[in-house]
Amino acid sequence: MKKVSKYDEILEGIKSIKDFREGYFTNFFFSQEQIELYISEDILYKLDNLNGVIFYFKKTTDFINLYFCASSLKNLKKATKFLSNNYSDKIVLDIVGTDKMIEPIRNIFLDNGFKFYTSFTRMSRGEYTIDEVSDINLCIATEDDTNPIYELLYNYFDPLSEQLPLMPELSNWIRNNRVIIYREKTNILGFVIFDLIGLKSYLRYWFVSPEYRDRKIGSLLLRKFFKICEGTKKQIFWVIDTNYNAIKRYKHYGFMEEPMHDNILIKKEK
Amino acid sequence: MKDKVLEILTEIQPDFDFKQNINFIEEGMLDSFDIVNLVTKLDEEFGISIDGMDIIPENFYSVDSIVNLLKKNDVE
Repeated sequence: MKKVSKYDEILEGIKSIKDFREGYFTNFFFSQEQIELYISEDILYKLDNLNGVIFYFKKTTDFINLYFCASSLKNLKKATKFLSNNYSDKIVLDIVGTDKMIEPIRNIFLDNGFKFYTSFTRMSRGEYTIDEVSDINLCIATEDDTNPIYELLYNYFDPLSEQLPLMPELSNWIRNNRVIIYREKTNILGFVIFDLIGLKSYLRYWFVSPEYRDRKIGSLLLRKFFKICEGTKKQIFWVIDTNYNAIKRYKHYGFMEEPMHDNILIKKEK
Repeated sequence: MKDKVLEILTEIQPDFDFKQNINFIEEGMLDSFDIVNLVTKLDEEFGISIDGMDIIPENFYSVDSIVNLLKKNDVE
């Protein structure tokens, strides 16, 4: 396993896989900005001496996120077997796509020591209008809120499946006014973290502290997010497939389930 | 070729109008996930293999930049 030291290595890797001219299968969808952050944080590694396959590893304290670029499913199968036999770390894998795209890839990993963990469905909706949302406790997070929000994320969200941000990623969202909080006195009772890129918005994290969940704070936060993103043509987020209550609530706001899933598989450490 | 590119873009992201003269990346019409899907579909449709070094945002800003990328791959 080698450390990735510059972004061009990723592009060269993609080229080397595509040069097989057999196909291109991947779950490595990071932007250049994200990849460069992982490189600067020294957490991105690769295993590239495999025939037609490169594995990328994003290391966290407790486990490794695995990404692959493969020229064919046959080559991915061989490489996965090698990985499974030679690496004993706890590994988490996301496979994103339609059920038809996911199934053959999922089977390769399930046959090699990975277990199904959970699955997310993508929901989205088109243009909308919304009334102004005002509440004295709703505000945009500032730099001072970074640490408490980071702690809430890591205390309440599942790090295995929810791709929790690094501190610099959270700071970046806060710097770009992409975090709405609900604050009483000095306590943050809830927050929404989102991305707004041109005509598209992404709801990344939506949270209300358990003891305040009967006060409609979640609804206020969500409506504030909708107001800020009013005018976008598409709003997207991912929800756990089996969270029927949340899906029902989102449908109430006009969201529809897309045929796009994110399967999370885990291989426990040996 | 331009019509085919528009057809593929619309298939990937049916919610957007790719005939508009705007930057698809800056406007969020294509993200990194869409670009990977787009490259796979362009490879299949035109029987080419777009170079990994060319999978950079600048080559996907507009229909014209995608057409130029295809021309670079000898698609006529």
